[in-house]
Amino acid sequence: MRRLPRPVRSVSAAALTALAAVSVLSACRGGDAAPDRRAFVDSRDTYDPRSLDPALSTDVPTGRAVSYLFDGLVRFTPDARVVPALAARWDVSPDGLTYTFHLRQGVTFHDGTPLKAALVTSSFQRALDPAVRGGRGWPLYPIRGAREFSDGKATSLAGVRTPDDSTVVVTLTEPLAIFPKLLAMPVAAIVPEKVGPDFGQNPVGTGPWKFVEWKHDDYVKFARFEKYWGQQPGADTLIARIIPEPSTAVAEFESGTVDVLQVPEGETRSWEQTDEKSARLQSAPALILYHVAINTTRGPLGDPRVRQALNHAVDTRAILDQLLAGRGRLSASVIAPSLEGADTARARYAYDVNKAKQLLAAAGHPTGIDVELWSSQDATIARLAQSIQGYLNAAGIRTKLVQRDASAVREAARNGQADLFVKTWYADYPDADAFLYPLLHSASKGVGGNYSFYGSAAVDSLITLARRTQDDAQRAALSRQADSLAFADAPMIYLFHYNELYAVQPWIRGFQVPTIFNGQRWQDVKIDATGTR
Amino acid sequence: MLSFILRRLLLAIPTLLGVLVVTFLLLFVAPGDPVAEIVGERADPATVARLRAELRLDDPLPQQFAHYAGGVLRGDLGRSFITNREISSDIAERFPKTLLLAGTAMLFASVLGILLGVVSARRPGGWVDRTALGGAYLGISFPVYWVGLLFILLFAVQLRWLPASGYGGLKYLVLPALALGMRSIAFLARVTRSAMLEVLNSDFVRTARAKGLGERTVTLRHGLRNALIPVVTVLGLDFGYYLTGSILTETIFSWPGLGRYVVNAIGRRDLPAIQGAVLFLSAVFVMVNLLTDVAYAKTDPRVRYD
Repeated sequence: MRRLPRPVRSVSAAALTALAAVSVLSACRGGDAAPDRRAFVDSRDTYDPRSLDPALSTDVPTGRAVSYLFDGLVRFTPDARVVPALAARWDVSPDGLTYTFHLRQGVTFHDGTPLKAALVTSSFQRALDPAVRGGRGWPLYPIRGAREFSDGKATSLAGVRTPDDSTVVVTLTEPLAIFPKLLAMPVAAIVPEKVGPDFGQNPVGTGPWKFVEWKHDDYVKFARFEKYWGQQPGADTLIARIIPEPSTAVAEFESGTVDVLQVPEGETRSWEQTDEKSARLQSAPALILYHVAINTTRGPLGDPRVRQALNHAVDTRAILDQLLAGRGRLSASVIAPSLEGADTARARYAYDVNKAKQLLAAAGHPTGIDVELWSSQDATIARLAQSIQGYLNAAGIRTKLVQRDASAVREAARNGQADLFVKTWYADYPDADAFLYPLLHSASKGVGGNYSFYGSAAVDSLITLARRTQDDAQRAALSRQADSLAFADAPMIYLFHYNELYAVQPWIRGFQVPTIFNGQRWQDVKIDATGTR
Repeated sequence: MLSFILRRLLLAIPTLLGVLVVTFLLLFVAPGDPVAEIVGERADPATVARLRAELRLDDPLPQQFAHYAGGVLRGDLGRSFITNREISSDIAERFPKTLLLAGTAMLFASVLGILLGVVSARRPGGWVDRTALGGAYLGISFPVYWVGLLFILLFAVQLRWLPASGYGGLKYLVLPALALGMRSIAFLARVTRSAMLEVLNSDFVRTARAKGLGERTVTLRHGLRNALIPVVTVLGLDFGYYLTGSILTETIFSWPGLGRYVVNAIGRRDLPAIQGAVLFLSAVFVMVNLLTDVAYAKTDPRVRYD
């Protein structure tokens, strides 16, 4: 290493000093008053939506945009309740098989055409149509004839009837208490009669925002729909910016150019510990479970004692505090704590290395076992995996880390090639079932979300029974029971349920952090120019 | 010259065919499942199987390749698996933005780099030279994302002079182009400086001075003109590097260019999009190399391609 000549050293010293000065300044800079704007600007999308077509809504940016442009028969509120939307009310038959939706009167699409009951049928058929290639028909599969239709074995959807222009009668293959929640998912949104091939680029819906323009990888722009049947948004324009780099989103927020920000995990502490920044923070428990799926079909992992040992070996509290700045709630359950059926009092697997070793010995592995831990290269997940590897190694579980890009890891896990798989699970609808069925039911093994390949007849039947039960208290009890049985079997390393942390500008009034990703449509939000920092 | 260009263009055809084959094979053996990306989480096996068949992913490899290559030869890059949009229109939408960014970075780099290099060479070892040298070391050492974030903090958050990110008018272009050009400014300054020093100490410059020409004329007309020969080479190489290496810059500055498009396509295993973009970028690369060689012949009278 050659020594640099003297001036060079002074230059680099100066540059580093300047950098330090900049970061100090930016940490303690006061802000300006609200910009004079009539638009909401969102910074949460990190990649371009796949499409603006509800039938193709498999990702968060798409689902969010769809929730602005379209209505379903029902919708989610920011705190994840299900409320009427295009259906003003609905009745359920005593056997739980038939839902009769009574449509709201006087609803029009952005192009002025009126909403008719027949459009519910055509929208559902379109979402299931193999030619549309959305690949997300499952929320509608409970409808009688839906599978036949999507397999091309039927030309119409047997389970949907429209006796008149304002009534839709939906018949299911089996009773399903969560059915209305499935209808609030983006894929079940109602689209107009004329849907051209470029509908995903030029969408027309009945939602509170109409489409203006979409600059790929840059932003999607929406305008308030003046004839909306419900609450009018409090601004003319909504711009969903696409900002892939979290640090850039933070800088935009600090420049006052965006209105809401998802605070990156790494910046949590600095936001919480700066007075004027912490005043802008809003948090909400999300429906997201961090866990490590344990493939119960692979070698020693078939033994529940080994899986319990894995749970005892990991200090989840330290990981949550160190890596996620405490943004979550330690879990002894797959069900998010805010949902009916969650048992927040259940005792967690305590961090206890000796106990882990005893359990391994009892299972016939006194010298430990060898496993592969698979994870994506996402920054937070990768660090999480490294920590878990360290804890497992310390307990005699020799762990080899396999880190590849998300797509490769998912494929391996779906094919059952991964012993352990670090996974975040996002619920699609606010219900215990959105965790229980995909993660623990044997019908969901592999592609369905059950990367543990866990199957227990008792758990299956409890989950199925819970899905069919209309009575909320009974459903909650059944869900709790299924969850509890599975917990004892330890099909995963239970980590935590995530908490969303947003920063919201002071001139933005009425923004509530959504518990579910498509629960915030900016209808109750206003810009208040007097809002100072 | 013309025959040289034609020969090179003909040579580009097997090159691009090679790219087509290699990309296709690489994607075929790469892990990751395009269908998994289409259906998202909580899929059902029947849908997965149907989509696999529909997208011809179950066909034998030669058949898949023939189908794809046939389309390409007809000028059809196909449609994206994920968005169902035409790949060619996606590229047409994004490439000009990458070109604008790369071109501006290039402009910054050549003006500033050559200027610094000439000034440094006039008094080697003087304070200007030393400062420029130090700056060049810094410019070459700092990675673009670090420089980019520093620029954003300084010029967007602190001073509020320029927007932090996004795509729009000139003011959106300044920071990303500067960040992307940083490395080249430094590099070009160094190359220009050493080429200038070499030229200024050569016989013909001494002759020019002996003829009584002014210092400015000597430096620019005789010195710089000859010193530019290696600079052109570096510029050409760098330009190719920009077109493909702008991914980080585009990500930091939310610039909607082709780099980000390719990265997203790879992340989602959008095979037609990856293949189309790689093929297109290879063609651009071939063209840039050709243009560099032509420019080289124009600046250096000793080079002849006939």
